[in-house]
Amino acid sequence: MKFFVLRTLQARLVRTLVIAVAIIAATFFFVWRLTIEPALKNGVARQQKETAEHAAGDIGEFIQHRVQQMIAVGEIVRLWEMKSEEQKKSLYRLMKLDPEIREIAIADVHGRETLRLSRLRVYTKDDLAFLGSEEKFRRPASGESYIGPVYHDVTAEPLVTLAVPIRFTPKEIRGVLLAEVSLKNLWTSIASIKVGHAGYTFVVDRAGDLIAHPDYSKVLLKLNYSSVSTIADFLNKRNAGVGVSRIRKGSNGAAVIANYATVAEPMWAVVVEEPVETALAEVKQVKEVALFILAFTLVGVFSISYVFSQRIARPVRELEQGASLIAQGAWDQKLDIRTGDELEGLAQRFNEMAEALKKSYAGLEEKITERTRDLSALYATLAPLGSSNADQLLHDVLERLKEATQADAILIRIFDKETKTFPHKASIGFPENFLASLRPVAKDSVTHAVFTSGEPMIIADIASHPRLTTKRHLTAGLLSAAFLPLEISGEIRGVIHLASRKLRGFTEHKTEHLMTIAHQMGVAMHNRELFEEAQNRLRRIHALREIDLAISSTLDVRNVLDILMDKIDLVLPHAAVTVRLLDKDRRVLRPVACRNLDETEWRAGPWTFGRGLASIPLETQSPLIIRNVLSDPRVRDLEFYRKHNLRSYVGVPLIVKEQSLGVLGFYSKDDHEFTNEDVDFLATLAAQAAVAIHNSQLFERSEDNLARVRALREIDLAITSTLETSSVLGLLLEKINVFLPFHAATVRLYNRETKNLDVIAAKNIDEQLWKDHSHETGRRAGSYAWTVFESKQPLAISNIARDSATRRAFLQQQGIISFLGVPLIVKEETLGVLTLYSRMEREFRSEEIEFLSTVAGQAAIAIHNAQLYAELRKQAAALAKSNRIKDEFLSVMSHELRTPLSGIIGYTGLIRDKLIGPTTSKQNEALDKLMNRAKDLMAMISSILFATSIDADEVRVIRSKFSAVDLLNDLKTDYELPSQKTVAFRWDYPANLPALTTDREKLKSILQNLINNAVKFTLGGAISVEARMLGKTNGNGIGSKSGDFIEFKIADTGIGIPEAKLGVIFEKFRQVDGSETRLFGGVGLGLYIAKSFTELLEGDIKVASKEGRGSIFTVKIPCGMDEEAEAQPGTGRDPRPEPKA
Amino acid sequence: MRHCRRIILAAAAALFVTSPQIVAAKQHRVAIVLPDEEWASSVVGLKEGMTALGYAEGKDIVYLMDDARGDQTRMLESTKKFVAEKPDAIYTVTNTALKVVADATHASKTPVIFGSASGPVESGLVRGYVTPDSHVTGVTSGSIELVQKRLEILKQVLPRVKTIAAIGDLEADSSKAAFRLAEETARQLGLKLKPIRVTSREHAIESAKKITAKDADAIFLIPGLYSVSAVTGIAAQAKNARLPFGVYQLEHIKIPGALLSYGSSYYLDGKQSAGLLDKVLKGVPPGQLPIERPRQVQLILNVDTAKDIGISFRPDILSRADELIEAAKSP
Repeated sequence: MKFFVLRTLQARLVRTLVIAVAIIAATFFFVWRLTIEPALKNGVARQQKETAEHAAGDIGEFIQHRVQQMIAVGEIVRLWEMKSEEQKKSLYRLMKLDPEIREIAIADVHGRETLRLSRLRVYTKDDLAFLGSEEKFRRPASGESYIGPVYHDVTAEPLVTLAVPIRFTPKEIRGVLLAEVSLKNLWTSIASIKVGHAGYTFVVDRAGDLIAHPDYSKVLLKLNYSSVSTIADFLNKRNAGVGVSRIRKGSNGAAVIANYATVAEPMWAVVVEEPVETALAEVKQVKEVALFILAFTLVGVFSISYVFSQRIARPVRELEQGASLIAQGAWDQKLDIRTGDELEGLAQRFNEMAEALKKSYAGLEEKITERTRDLSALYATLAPLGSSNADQLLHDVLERLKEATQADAILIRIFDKETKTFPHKASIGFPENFLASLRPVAKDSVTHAVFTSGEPMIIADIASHPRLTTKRHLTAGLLSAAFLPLEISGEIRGVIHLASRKLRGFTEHKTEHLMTIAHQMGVAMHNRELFEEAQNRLRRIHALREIDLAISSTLDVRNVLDILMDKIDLVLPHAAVTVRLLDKDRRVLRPVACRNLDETEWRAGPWTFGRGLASIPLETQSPLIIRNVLSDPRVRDLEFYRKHNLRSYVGVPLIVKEQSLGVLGFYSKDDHEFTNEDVDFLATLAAQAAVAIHNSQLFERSEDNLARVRALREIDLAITSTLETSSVLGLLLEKINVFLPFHAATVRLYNRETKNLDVIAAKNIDEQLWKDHSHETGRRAGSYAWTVFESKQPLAISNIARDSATRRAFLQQQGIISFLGVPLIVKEETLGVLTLYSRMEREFRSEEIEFLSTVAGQAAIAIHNAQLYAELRKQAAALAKSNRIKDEFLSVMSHELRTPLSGIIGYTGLIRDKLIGPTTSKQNEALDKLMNRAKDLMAMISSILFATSIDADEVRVIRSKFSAVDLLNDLKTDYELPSQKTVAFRWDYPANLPALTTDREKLKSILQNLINNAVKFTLGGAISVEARMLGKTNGNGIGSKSGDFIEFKIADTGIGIPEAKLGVIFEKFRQVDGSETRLFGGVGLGLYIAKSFTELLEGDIKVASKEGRGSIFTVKIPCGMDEEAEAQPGTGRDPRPEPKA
Repeated sequence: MRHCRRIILAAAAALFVTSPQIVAAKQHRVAIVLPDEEWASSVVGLKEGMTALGYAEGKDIVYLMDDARGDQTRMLESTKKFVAEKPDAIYTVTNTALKVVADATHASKTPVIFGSASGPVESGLVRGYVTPDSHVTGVTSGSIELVQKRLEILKQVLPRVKTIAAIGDLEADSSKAAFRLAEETARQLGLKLKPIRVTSREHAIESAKKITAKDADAIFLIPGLYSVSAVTGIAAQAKNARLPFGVYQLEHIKIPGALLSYGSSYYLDGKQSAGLLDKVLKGVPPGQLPIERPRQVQLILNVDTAKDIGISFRPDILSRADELIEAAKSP
């Protein structure tokens, strides 16, 4: 690519060639596109057109041939004069001749079909149609042939109707001959047409519907191609006459070259399509050959041109290279070009020019050597400025300067602003006595003059100079000197004094060179100052960063403070550091840490809690700086400073969120003028330390709170896990001791009987001894505990010795100093007091009192719960006892009642059956009533007995296999309705209910109770008893399966049950109407027994009822495993084993 | 020079990759469930059709065939076995076999091509002739719809015929449809149809044995697995009883005892179905291939049988016939 932008002769030649080649290629392209390619494509199109036209001719002939054939049959065979059978024979012959005729028909002049024959169908006279109004009749009837539109039969085969007149004479028409011609086989001729390599032909009708295609399935699919570009041309009568070579979208969606020809009479189109790839394959081939020839030609021309350009360019390149060497100074270089033309002359001119240059250069060389030496000297002078040691740096610079200036001695003097003198900073070559004799610079001295004027001064002969102290120089053997101002950062800061033992003057250029050196030295020294300052700042930033890291990595204050003091020690050495923190409770500064002091001694100092210097920055929240503590009146503990030889002090407050946490103190052992930077540094450190201390304090506080919450949770868990008061309280005291250490503790409860506060839990006390002194320890009024109990408020005494209001002698004997008591309150009632005793004086903090109060609240709840629990247990025991007595009574009484009642029923029956003697009708009536009442009573007693047994858990389930149908049949026969009731019974259960395996008697009892209930509460209407199977066995009469249920439904139209009572009707001794005046008898045990037995049988009973409308009781009982069915094969049951539940 | 070498190598590689001679063509596997050897000519037609389309047996295509010998259970088992072998398509013949194969391939959607099955739409195997909308397509024999025409031709050939014994399958859907159509057409033509519904090939032959001239004037073959598989036996019985026997396929009419046939040929149907199989193997879903009807329906008369049973064809009938089976004229 670079080649094409080069401005060389050869590149230009090549570019010209490329452009020429491009023009040739473009010309070829346009000629190809505009003439050759269209001509080739048109050739393809013409070929397609010819193919389509040829096929269209064939298809036209296909149709016309049949039309003519039909006309011939009509006229020649004289169809009009034939009888029907003869006509049939003729038409059959025609059909045999032309297998494409599917059906053929004859219509008379009125349009009525007289005959229709088909290859597939049978037509009777009834099937013949009237065609008078149809085009296919009217057109032939008027003498024209008719070719109908293409249509499809049920299997989608394409057909066309052809109809011709049957002429008697050329003018007289006797009928019409119609034929349904199948186009199915048109595809064979279409498929046989070859179009190029991969082309094909198809036919569409006047609507664009496909009627013939090499792929017959497409015809059957009744595809419509009217949207295909070629067909659209046909339908719009476009491009009918010429071949079209345009690439277009074909019938299958691919790019094709396509043309069509019209079949004139039926107006169909034969379309020829060929994919572009194959249709234009030859065009492509020609194109490729042409391109190859073009490319070959171009490459050849290009190559020849390139060689030619090389020949021209080579001498030019040699000329250029030679000129280039001359330009680089190779003046001895001679150009040897012998082309005999202008180039050779040009080479000669170059040679002459080189000779001239060589001569002029010789004079310049000397000047350049001198200049180079000066530059080398300057470079040598500045080279050591990168040294890290300042003194060494100056020494090195002077050495280099001496060498560069060829001076014998050099002295640098820097102006001291404070002393207004010029002390020498560095020197070389001057004898010691010379340096020692340097005095403060006089205002008329050379040094002062140079310093003030900023101009150098060159003294070629010292001896003759009026302003210079010559003796000193001459003594040192120095005869000439130069004084140069030393400028640092735009300010004259000193003077460089050069001296030589030779008499030497400096040219202006030399002086300027020396000034440059002096200036560069000034720059170097300034850089050195900046470098040192930056180093110092970097040290401080590192220190701050390390402290920051320490703060973020630990919550241990001591760690942070250690790092803090280490860093201060590093950045501001030779000093002592202290940290004091504020005790908020006592408002004093507590010593926390120190460095470079004896910590024990420092902590124990008498001023520790006093208002020392540290209090000032704490209160003012700003740094305090004292340069000399010994002379400052605010210093109170001078002895401390003297002892530790401390002179200066800086106190910086530790502030977080505008609150002072403490003070960072910094001491130096000499009078130290603290710069603002020092103070800022210490303040920054203090701010960081303050954040760390604050975080640590917060962390400790949150840890404490968390521990308390855990303790409260454990206490809470203990309380909820047991109702044993003593164990709860024991644990309680254990937990309290962890967070609020005490020497002794008690929990006292108020005894309502004795009106004392009795100890119910204690720790570390001699209970008996404390009881003996209960008037002091809390049993009675006047004690601390009693005060708490009465006031319902916590009480904290830090030192009972200082408290005179309460009895305390015993407590003091026990060594108790501090006391804390909180009341045990539940629902505003004080149950007792929790008390803690300490043998050390201690101040109880508010959070400690709050914690103990919370614990006491929980303890109070536990005690209250335990008391309630004990009460409940007592009541439960009493209830169980009374219930047992009741059951025993009922059982005994029922047994005792049954025996005599059986006798009453027996004897009444004997009398009623006249076995003892004759009775009157009135007596019989009375006996019946007696019998009924006795039976009622017996049923009642039986119910009570059942209920008692159920309650006593004495009822056992005895399972057996029995027929559900038999059970229901038994029940059915058992039931006789009371004569005075007009209630209809309806029994509905399938005869093939399966056998059940359950307790038959209990099931029967359930059903009896429910039916009895229905009978009792139904005064009129109906009672229905239904049974059905639920589950896999659906009433097939064979054994039931595990998981099957039988459902019984007892419905009545009785008085119903109010909704509010539905929840209690299954309870013992419950009746909807429980009043004394109720209409219906009974003890209310029937439903209780039914429900109990149902549950025993692992079933379920439900009731649905509407008051005044009746009730429905539904009982669902598991059928039980049909083990017998499995054990007895061959009983007609399914022998396949069922999975056991 | 190096570039030239690379270009030559690349061109050679491209030639190698694209050369049709080198690219390995896929070998197709087509399973054939043949209901009975009676339809063997259908398979011959199919294979010939495929060969004509460029499929060389053993190279481009492999046929896996099982003859169920008239046993529907075996047809089902064969189909299941074939489905497990995942062929490219399954070919079968007859409505009964098609039903078994179509059901068994319902889940796998293995393409099914049938060569000659009567009434696939009428018996509900596919939704329609144009778009079967199923995994099944093929060439219908048209034997059900031609029942009408065959009865008419029988009547035209033998105008004195009044009672016709029609033998077909009891269970086959095609037989049921054909029986219905035959009964309807018989009424139209004034004929009495005696349907004989058989449950096996043997049953068909036994039933045919019982037909005498007293019972019927002619025997008519209703399309069905058992009836067609017994066609040779029935023809023999018809010949013995000197009863005209009307069949409907080219293959039937050549059997001694068969008198006339109007229909297509298993062979031609099989050959025609090769076109559909070819499209299926090229990836066209069967549901998009319309069901085709036979390209030719021919009336063929067996002059030898006519002689054997003592009847003669009228000249007009002979002239209508597309082909005559006549021993003397056979080369």
